[in-house]
Amino acid sequence: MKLSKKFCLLAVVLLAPLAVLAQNVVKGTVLDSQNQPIIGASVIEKNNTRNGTVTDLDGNFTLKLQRGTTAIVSYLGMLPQEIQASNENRTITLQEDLKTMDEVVVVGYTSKARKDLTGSVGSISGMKLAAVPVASAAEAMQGKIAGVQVTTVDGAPGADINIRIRGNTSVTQSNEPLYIVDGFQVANINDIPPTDIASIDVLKDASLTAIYGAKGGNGVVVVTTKAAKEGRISVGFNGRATVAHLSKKLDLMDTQDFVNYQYDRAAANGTRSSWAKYFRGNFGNPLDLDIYQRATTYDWQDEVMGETPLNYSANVTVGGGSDKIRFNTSLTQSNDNGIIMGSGVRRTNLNIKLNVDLSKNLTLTLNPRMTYRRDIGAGGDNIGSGGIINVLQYRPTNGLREFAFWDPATVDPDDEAIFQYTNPKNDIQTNTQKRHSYNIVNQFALTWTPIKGLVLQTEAAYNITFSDTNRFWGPLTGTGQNNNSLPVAEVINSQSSSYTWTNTATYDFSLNEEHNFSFLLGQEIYNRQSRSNDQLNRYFPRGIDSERAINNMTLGTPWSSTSYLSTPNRTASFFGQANWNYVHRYLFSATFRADGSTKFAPGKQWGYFPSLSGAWVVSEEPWMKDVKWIDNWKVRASWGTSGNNNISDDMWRYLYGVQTTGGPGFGENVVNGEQYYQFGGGNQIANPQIKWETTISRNLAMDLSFFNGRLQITPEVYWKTTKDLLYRSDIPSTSGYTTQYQNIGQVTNRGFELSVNADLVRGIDYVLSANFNMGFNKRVIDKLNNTDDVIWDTNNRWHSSFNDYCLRVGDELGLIYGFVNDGLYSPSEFTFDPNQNFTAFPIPLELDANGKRVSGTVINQVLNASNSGDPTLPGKIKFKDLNNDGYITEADRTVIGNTNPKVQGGFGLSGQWKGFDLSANFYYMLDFDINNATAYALSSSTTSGSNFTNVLTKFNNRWIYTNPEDGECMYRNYYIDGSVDSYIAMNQGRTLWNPADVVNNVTMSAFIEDGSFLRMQDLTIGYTFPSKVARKLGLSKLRLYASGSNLFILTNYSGYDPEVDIQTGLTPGMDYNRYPRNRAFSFGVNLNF
Amino acid sequence: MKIKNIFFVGIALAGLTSCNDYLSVDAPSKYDNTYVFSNVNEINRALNGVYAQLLSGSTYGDNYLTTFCMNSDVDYATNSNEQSTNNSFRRFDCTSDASNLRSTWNAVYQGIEYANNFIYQLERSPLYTPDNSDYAALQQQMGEAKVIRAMFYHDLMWLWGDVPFSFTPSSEAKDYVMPVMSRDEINMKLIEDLESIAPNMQYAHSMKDGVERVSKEFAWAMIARIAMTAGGYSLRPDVSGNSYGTMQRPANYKDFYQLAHQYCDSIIKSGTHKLNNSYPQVFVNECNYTVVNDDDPIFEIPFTKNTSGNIGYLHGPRLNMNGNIGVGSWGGASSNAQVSFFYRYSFDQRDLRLKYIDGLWAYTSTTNGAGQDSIAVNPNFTYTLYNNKWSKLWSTTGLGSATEGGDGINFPYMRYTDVLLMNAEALNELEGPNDEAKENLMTVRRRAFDPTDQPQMVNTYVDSVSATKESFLNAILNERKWEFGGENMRWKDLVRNNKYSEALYYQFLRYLIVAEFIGGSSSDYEDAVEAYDNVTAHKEYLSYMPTNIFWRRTSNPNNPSVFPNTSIDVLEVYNPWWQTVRPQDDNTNNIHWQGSDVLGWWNDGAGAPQNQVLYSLYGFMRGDVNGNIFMIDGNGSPIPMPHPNSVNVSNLPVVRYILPYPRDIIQRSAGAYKNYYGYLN
Repeated sequence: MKLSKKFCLLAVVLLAPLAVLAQNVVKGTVLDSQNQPIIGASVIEKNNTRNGTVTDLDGNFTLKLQRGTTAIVSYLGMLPQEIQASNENRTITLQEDLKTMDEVVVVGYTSKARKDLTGSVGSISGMKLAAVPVASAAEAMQGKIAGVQVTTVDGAPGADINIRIRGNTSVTQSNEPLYIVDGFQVANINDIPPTDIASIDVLKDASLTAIYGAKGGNGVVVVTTKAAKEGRISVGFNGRATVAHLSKKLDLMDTQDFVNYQYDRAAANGTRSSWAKYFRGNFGNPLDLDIYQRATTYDWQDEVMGETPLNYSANVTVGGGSDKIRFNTSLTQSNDNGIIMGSGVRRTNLNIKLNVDLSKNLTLTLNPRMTYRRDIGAGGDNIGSGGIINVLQYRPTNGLREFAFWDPATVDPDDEAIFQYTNPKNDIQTNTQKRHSYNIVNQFALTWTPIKGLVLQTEAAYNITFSDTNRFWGPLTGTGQNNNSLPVAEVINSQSSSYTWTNTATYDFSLNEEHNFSFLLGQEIYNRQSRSNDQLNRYFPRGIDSERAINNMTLGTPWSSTSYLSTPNRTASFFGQANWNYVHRYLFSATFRADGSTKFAPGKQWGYFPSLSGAWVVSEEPWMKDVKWIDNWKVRASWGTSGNNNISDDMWRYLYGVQTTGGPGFGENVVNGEQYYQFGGGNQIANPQIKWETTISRNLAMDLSFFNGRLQITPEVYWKTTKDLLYRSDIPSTSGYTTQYQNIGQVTNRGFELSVNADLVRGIDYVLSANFNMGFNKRVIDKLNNTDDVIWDTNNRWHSSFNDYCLRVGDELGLIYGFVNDGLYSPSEFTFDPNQNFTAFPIPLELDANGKRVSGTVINQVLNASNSGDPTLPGKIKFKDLNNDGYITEADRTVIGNTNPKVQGGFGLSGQWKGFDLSANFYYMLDFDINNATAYALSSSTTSGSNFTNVLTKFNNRWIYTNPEDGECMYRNYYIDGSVDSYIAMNQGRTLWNPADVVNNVTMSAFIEDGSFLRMQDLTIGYTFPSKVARKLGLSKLRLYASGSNLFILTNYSGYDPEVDIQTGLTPGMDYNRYPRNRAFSFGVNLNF
Repeated sequence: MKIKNIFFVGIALAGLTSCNDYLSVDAPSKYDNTYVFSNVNEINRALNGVYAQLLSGSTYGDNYLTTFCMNSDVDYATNSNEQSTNNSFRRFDCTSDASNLRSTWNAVYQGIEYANNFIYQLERSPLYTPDNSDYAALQQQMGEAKVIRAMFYHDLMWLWGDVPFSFTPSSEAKDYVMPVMSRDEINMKLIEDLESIAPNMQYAHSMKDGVERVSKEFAWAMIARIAMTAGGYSLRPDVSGNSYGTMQRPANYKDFYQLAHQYCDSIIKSGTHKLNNSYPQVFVNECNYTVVNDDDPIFEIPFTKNTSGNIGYLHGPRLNMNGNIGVGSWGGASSNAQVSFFYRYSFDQRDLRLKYIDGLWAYTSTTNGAGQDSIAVNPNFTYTLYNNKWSKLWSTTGLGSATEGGDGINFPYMRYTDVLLMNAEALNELEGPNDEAKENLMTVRRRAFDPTDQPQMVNTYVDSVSATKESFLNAILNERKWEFGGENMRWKDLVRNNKYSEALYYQFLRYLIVAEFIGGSSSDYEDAVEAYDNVTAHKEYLSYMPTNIFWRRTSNPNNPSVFPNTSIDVLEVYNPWWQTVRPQDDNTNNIHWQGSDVLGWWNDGAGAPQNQVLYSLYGFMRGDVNGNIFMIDGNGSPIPMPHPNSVNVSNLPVVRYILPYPRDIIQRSAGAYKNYYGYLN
């Protein structure tokens, strides 16, 4: 209880009137290891806590002491020192207390000393957070805690951050952990400014999370923001400016190559085929294509994603107070514009913490927080109307238009407008979304300590969020064109409110200072409800801009106006916990929680979640006392259950909703048609049988600390079983619906985690420490529903013609199924029939008695015919015929990729030398696959003959149909002698197919790439000016720093970035339409006044 | 003491929230069955949901008139793609992958589910009892839902043959993979279902919403239509060999024809519908949102203005959009639902129905958006013509210059003439051309001809075609062909009588002959085809097609019976029918003729007919640039076309008009469903 003792001392010092027992005076200056003065260190006479003082702004103090006594100099987080009274002016250098054993960790409605923990907690201190400039708290956690995977969905500013603690327990529902900020549950931590954070604790195993019941099933992230401290009012300022740019570009064809490719594509069915006519209309005579040598290449990556936004973040913190009232206020403003035009996030946060001691044993805490957030753009899928893919595919030249003079009088303005619109830049400008959100959280807690050891607390939090989403579709967007080619605008106002009310009682006591008990009993209710009003108007004047339309909805014609109030989502909970330890050596803890949820039908509402855990602190054993080099050796084991109810409301009951548009128009009496009842949730049918998904987890771990804390090692193993998975299954649409929530199957996660922290070198004014962590996790499907042992699924981001993911009992989750590439069909596998225009015919199959292929050409039945003909032709993609029946069918799919990283983790270095500080962080994921569907889109041509889409430069070496010299199509050319030989000769040695021949999406091994990567997450160098310099400027602290993020990534992945969709849902690892990541450089300043 | 207090406070706090009441929550913006089915008005609102399913663009609102309106000698869409595709349904060329298959399938089954659920819940409603004063109204509502359900199944079976079938709503179903049932069995169940409720339904004229709602007459007519279909031919799967299948009709087909006759007769005898309005007026009324309850329409799908239905947008003269501005106050029209160029030549020139199906010109607004001052010969004059039965232009007010689809113009799903002709067809099959059948045919024809032409074109004509059962059947099919252009009827009539292959075979040759004629060669098929067509106006009509036409703009005749729109300029075409020399300009009256080349059906570069000629019936019959013409046999292999002189039309390959089940339906059926008809998967 050293820590609490220190607190007591401090309190007493401040409370007690300074006794004047003038005898001897002790004077001095208190410095830290970097020779910086420590302000507010306490100097107290030993054994007489009534006599003491604190150091001033220069670290100086004066204390009168009685002769023969000593004073103790102490400061939070430092080792106290004892000094003798003397007349000399002394310099006292306090050493940091590196033993973190007494650190307090916030766990489930209470806090515990780390040494008494029986579960797994990973922590990041605020010091570490402060050193590196990051845009969000989650980003700061990346790669720093073993078993915690932090990935951003993509590179969009303000993109959703996926935090996964020990793999995904649920395969189908959100695996978002529970976020607790200062004791209150919040939806996410995206909007908490990193500069406000004092510490982050991640509760990883069920023995700790069980107290949170269902909500804790995916782990708990506990964020503690900087507390209100008593003392002189302090003011801090943190500022940062950042420049970002696209970190990688894809290599796409330039104009000349593009036009040649397009001709080859168009003329693949004959020099004068219908597609070739489209080509001539757009690009001119195929024999004159050399004019494009001088034509401009529009690089849409540069035009659209080439922004180098200058972003900033500024934060002011004011804190202080008296012994009765303490406060801390922080105001943060930040702006993050994206590298893609028309995207960005701006945030303003205000956080006020106020603690009031109403009486000796009654404390009131108030914590209002306000957040404003403005989002522009709507993510990678909504860049313009077709997403990033359309930007990449967009033709790099306008063809003949580049060369022609267009007399404005002769131009058809409609044609011209449509033409210009299709260019991605204009598309983005006419297809906009802007969203403002305001979030207000009011938190209140009253803590009463009626008798020693007993704490009663009631906590309430009320959270209200308003947002307006303003969507505008210009006249030429798809939506606009469906509405008389006039603009459409939509304003959605939504409001959601939630409250949590928690009442807890804890009671701690000890018997003989040996048996330490603590009990917790509590009850909680949670309610959340949202309301939205949606106004959708169309037929705006054609030329209107988005702002004007949004601000003057009356200029359009009302189309739909709806309001909606959701079913309250409620949880009622009861929980209790008992802890016992014997001299902090043998520890035991038991927890039980019951949660009732409105997400399920009556009778299935309650879930019960018990857990047990224990620990043995070996190093506390008497026989270990002599082993000096081991500071701490603890063995922990736990077992616990948790639940998941993270599905939409009312999935268990059949309900009707009133629809106001689309009804029948009897007599045209009602605009938009008669009202009608829609049954079910649109395409989704209710399932009265759904119930809690539950996870049982087991954990075994050791905490080891050596050499006075210089080396800390924590190995852990765990085993988690999740059953009754909540899954939104696709059901046969002959039912009238397409999906339904069902409880299916069982999944097991097994894993091993290791974290190592070491102070490599340590001295008076320097320290260099390193940390390393890694996690292995394997997810296996034990069981599916009772009827199937295989469930097929398709990624709905990139629609493959065949199901491309499969859940199979005994397999890992997230396996990609597809066809195995086997090069290209060679001309020798065909006969060219002179009687049929030299069409290539596959050599007929010969099958043996078992129906297995003996000889002949394997027939591809999965790719569609293209302009050049059937999918089985020379130069087209060939697949392995795995069942050897002579035909490529669905049966020839196999596992071609595993999207689960085998190992993931991070490592970092941080150091200090005099005023300089350095920190570098890396993280990695090894051995996992990604379906590079972006590359597929840029290696294929799924649009019609009148559309011209760009492809990757490497396809300059593609299979070709037209002779580059005279533009004649050589395939099926009956009027040129020896055309077959020329056709074969000109394709000699070509190994890449012609993108024009791939016209449907079929998952194949050629696009499955290993995504292993090592990313240099950040590198920061800072310098803290000596306090003398700072003082002259009127500051108590001045630090400048420079930082780079995402400076490099080591990977063989050919797409923008391999970190996409990692382990999300059932169909992970799909790189399609993802916002590319940026590389950013920041400069910042930290000031304290 | 203190601890005790604290304990009690704690218990009290817990008690506040412990009861399960806290977890019983209402859904404030949603309603349950008990609420919805406890009040006639709410039940009606639920019934509106069933009607709403009819309005989908995937079915009756658009796709049934375009995407899935199979090519025939009436409704026609060209396709120039030389390769097989996955979604060219109209030319019998698709795969189970096509997205339209899935969206239409889902829309139909969603509709069936709405109807199933409504019927199931209403049957169990405490109100649905004879004691209730609203029982009659509820029975009518029950009937409406049952007939709509029958519509969905009926049209579904036309496209997919045997289909998964259930009358149970999914909320009560044990298994979402319901078994495939044969069309014969489903038809029996539908007929039985409708026969049980039809007597309790009301006549259209006694209902507030009239023929926009399902009436007793429509229920009867639906029974008749289902019975005719059940008794007719259809393509049956080859379960063992997966060939395209064979055309068959049930052995007891006459029972079905008897049933059809019985219900058609009930409607005719009830006298609630007459053909008083002229033929064009029926459709012009629809375009003006005027619902007439005792005339030709028996049921109109109640599309909603500005919201649903593309009837006026898909038909009529094309109206170009120039930017956001279309033509006058009528906006734009894609006019994608068109009829074959040769359709017009099958008519007698005196037929009043003729001039509404051969739209020769389109409207293009000017660049300054001023309106309709630009008008041009139909740019599609080449292969197809506009069907002017409906048009956005016929609306006197228009929906606005910026409007396109969602015109809300009702579609006459069931017409009295259909009932008359079904009756005639059934009677002819049962008893030959008897007087009642002849009178039915004459009733239809009387409206189609001027009183002066009636003696010859109605009485004499009907007498002459009544010579044999076969000639009378042909006359009925011809009458249906002239009466129902654009109503997605012709291919079904042909299938029902197993004449689809024959009709398409000649249809392909007509285009080919004219293309070759334009290309400068003559075809040895011409005589045979002309003999088959028997065009009275011009025996050798195929070689007299107008390859260029002469036209001029004239002011509006201001006579709705000539051109239903009375404010917009029209074209006068000098030679809409036959080749001629350029007419003299009448300089004194300032009449200048302009000439346009049309019928560019020959590709000079390739030395072959245009792709549209060769590939528009791809999955049944197609040509290549070398002049070979193939028909596709029952195994999907091209075989040489038989010459018309030697052809035995009964031996032509079948038309694979049946569609494959969408791929994901098969995938999710766990092996229960399988595609036949030669589809690969």
